[in-house]
Amino acid sequence: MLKKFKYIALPVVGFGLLALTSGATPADAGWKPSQNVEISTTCKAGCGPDRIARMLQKIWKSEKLVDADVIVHNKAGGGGGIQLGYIDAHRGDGHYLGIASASALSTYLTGRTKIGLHQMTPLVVMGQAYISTAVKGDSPYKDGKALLAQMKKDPKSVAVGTATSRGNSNHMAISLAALKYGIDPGALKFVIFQSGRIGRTNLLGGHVDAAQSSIGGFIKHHKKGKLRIVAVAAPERLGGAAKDIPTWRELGVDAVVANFRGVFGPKGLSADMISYWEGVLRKTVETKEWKGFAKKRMLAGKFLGHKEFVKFKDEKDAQMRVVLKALGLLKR
Amino acid sequence: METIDHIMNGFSVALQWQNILFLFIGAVLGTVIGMMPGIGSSAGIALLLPMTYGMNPIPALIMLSGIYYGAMYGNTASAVLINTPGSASASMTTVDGYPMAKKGRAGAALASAAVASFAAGTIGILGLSFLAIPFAEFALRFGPAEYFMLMFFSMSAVSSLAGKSPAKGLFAAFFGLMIATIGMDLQTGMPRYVFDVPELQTGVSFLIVIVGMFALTEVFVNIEKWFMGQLMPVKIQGSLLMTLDEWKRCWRPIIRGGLIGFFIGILPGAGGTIATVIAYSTEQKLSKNGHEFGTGAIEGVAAPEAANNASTCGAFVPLLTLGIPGSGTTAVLLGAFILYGLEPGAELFDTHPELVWGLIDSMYLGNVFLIILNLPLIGIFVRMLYLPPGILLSIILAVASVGIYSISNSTYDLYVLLFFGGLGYVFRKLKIPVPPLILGLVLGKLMEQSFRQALIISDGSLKALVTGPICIILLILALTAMFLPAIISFVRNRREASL
Repeated sequence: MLKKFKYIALPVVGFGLLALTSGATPADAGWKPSQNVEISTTCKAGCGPDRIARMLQKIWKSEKLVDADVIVHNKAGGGGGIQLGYIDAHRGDGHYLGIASASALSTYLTGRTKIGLHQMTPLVVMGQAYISTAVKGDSPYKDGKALLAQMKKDPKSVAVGTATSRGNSNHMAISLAALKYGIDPGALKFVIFQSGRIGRTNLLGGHVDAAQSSIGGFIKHHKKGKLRIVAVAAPERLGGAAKDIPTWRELGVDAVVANFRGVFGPKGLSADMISYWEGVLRKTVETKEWKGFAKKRMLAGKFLGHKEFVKFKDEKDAQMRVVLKALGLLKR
Repeated sequence: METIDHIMNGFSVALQWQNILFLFIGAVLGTVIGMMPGIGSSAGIALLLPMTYGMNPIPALIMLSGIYYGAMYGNTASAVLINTPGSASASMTTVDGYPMAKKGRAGAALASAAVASFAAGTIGILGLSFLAIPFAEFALRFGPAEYFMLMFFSMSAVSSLAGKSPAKGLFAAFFGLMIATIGMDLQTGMPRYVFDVPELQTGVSFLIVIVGMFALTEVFVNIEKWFMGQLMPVKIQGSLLMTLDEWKRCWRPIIRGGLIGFFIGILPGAGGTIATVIAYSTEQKLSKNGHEFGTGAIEGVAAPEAANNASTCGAFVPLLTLGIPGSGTTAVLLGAFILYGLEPGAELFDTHPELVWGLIDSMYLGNVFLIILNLPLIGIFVRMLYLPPGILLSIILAVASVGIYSISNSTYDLYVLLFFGGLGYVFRKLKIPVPPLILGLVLGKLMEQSFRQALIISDGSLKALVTGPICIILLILALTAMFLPAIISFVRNRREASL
């Protein structure tokens, strides 16, 4: 009987020691993930935010920035509501992240979702995809102002294609420009297409007169001359292939609209969690891999940390309210 | 000729041993992925994409296209054997493939699918190799009005799918159209029939409806039959492969289906599912054995399979020539191209010919691989049908449920699946045909949105729908499809009466 006792004693003591020591953390370590980290996106595998999520997953592993396994979840549907609802169910838990774009604000304002980015903890903005307006390569409109002038003269003569829903950043960009130019955006002729690429195809085929997309979607065709980007809703001219494209501001119309790509967490994250993620993401955008990825996808603009994101979110919210009200889509 | 040179060069690239190895891995993975409904080739490619980051672009892309092809074949296998299409584009294959399996001709069905895919794939690849650029330009001429007329023409297929009772067929078709309206309306952003359920905002997924009304309904019907002592075991009839007669019956549907599929695949707005629907109904109208469709006609398997495979090649046309993906899966491949620093577009043929032709030629090889890989496996697949019903039905239920759940990790989807399984059972009892419902559901969204997009552009003028050569030709085809059977039987009756 005593003999058997020694076989149990050792493991029991061993486990006891293990249990005691695993609970101890150094006083100034802050917060770190202690289980799997989940990044949720609002669309299916392969879409824009999903690619960002998977790029983060990859960089964090290869650069050893996060000491935990990272899983990417596709929570599509409900205009982003499904993703928001999922993350909202984990309040205060720093292991649940989401990729947000401007729609996280706009779908709440148009009443499509019950919660929005407003009820989450914004973490950082990774970059912004500025919205551009393009016409066919052989179109008579030489720049954005010419297009607006025609729209003012006869709103029904210009069919503008946009994707993927009414009230999103693409729709808002030209509406804001029109509003600032003195046109009622509600009078414009909008054709909504199922996706950005269908919109591009229709523009190339001449079925619509103009189309909206974040600049990454048009730049290839612009370089080849098949399409002409007549204006981009950026604060100043973008470099590289886009350096000959005027901004709306230059043309006298103060419209800056971007589909920003940000990372957020649920409500109630502690200051430690926020600073942990801000630190990780700051290091992420400095990596060569991210820079290459951002360049290819024309994700421009500064990296915004937590405090700046909160301010940015409020600015964007105010801007959207103005445009959505003019379009008759504001529900909150 | 330069193109021939390129093709030969492409083969020298594709036949390098490591590329063949990757093609093989991709094809096997793809077949397994394809057999599960829900996990489609585009999701599979997107998920495996990160694994290929460290690899050379050419073998990586070759593996990914191997997955694509493998998945298509896997879709067919489960469609024929257990009435569970692995993807929406295999749903037309169940209509004749599953009855063939019940008659003991599963082997022939799978064989004809493999051969049809191979042959049509070859047609598609030939089209891609030689006709890509002019076709791509032609595809640009399809705007909303043209898409609407194309859908209108496809809806005329209801007449062939309705079976004995046109009224019931129409009912099913309109029911499908109704289901297609559920969701957020694209043009106005307003919810329709959403009832405040967030999951309904994106509509009812047609894959869930199809898996419910084919697989689950079949499970319920078989359970009922078992209780009533009517369940017959399946006996394999004759050879596992096709008889000479079956071969002869297949070549026309393959060519017709292949051409239709390739062309529809080029159109960015229409995909493999629409191609299979149009190919099936066209084949039924044109084939001598059209009246057998729905009960196990081998043409009914060959035509949609050919169309499906050819449409894959067609989808590559706008991708490689204009840099615009022709389908969801090619959109993911586009992302892959970009990640490797390659800009797909016409100049890719000039800057990286070895890559483009290597990819195209690997598709030839992919098709060959599928035949080699799958023909011997047909015997194993078919043995599945010999499982005792309790086990087989449970497996079907499990595969269908897991597959559907894997799309969005949503239990809500499973409720929808169950609902449509029950609805399919009701339809069966009332002898209402299901294919017209699928037709309405699949075509409905694109048809309605194209109609409204066209009217917005034309400021409400209906004339826009019949302006331009493409619209007019499609209108003539649609009217012909609708009235030709009546005219033919009228003429035939007159002729017989006068004899």
